[in-house]
Amino acid sequence: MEKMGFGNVMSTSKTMKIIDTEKKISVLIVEDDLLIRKIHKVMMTKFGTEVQLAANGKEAVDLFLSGASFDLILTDLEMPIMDGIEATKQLRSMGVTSMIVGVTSRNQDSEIQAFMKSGLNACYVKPLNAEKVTAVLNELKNI
Amino acid sequence: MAANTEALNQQLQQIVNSLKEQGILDSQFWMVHSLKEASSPFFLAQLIPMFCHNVQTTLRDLNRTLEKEPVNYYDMNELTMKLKGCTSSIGARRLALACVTLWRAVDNKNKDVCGSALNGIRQEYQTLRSSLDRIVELERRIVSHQA
Repeated sequence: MEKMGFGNVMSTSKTMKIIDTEKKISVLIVEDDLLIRKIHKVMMTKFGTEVQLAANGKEAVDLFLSGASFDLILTDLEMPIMDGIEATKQLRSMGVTSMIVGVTSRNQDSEIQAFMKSGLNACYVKPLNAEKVTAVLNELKNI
Repeated sequence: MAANTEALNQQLQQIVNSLKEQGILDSQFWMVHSLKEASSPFFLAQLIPMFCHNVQTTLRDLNRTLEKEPVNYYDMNELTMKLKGCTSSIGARRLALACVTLWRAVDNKNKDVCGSALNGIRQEYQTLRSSLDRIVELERRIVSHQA
């Protein structure tokens, strides 16, 4: 599967939040395409996580500014108003330590690297499938 | 009633497996189908029309962008990636591959090749569309039998 691996983060290292394994993993899906948002929401729900949605990077940042927190953020790259790179940079500069995973249609190395540099823990090329979700959730639980 | 539902499910399976054998769909489609369990019985029957609307709208926008002079290849790139994303997410394999062909033409800023690639996407979509309509019809019948 196409992925920029966990641990190969180009930006400054981040301390991960301690995940309480007793409660459901909370996930924020940041995606402007309604169809993909719907698929990703149901997929993550099927994996037993609690899901909230944001239609662009600004909505995601605003959620954190309002006091929300999530164990995992799955973010698209290209979105209107604020894209995934800008949103990730802002979240990291705010001190957000959630795992942030990019999910993008782009598959050129340079594009993935640029996205990773913004502060992602990993990046996957769409489609998001069971294998990729399992890898992300396992990484989250192993922290 | 149960026998009817089973027969309908078998028909659905045969259609999807045939499309997989032709490379038109891939395993992502069955994964999306399985999401019914975590959502609602109508999940796939609602998702497919949404997908078709997405494709038609984006194809229209790609066409308009390509017809304008000068061609805005940045917009072409963004639209192509949008289409690639939704086609791959639902498991429309050949359609997603056709988007990659268009992306290469856009990257090379070759208008003629972009036009051919766009025609290729339209053809792939037409090939897929009638099967998707049949799948939606079967899904609706399955759900109504189960109700």
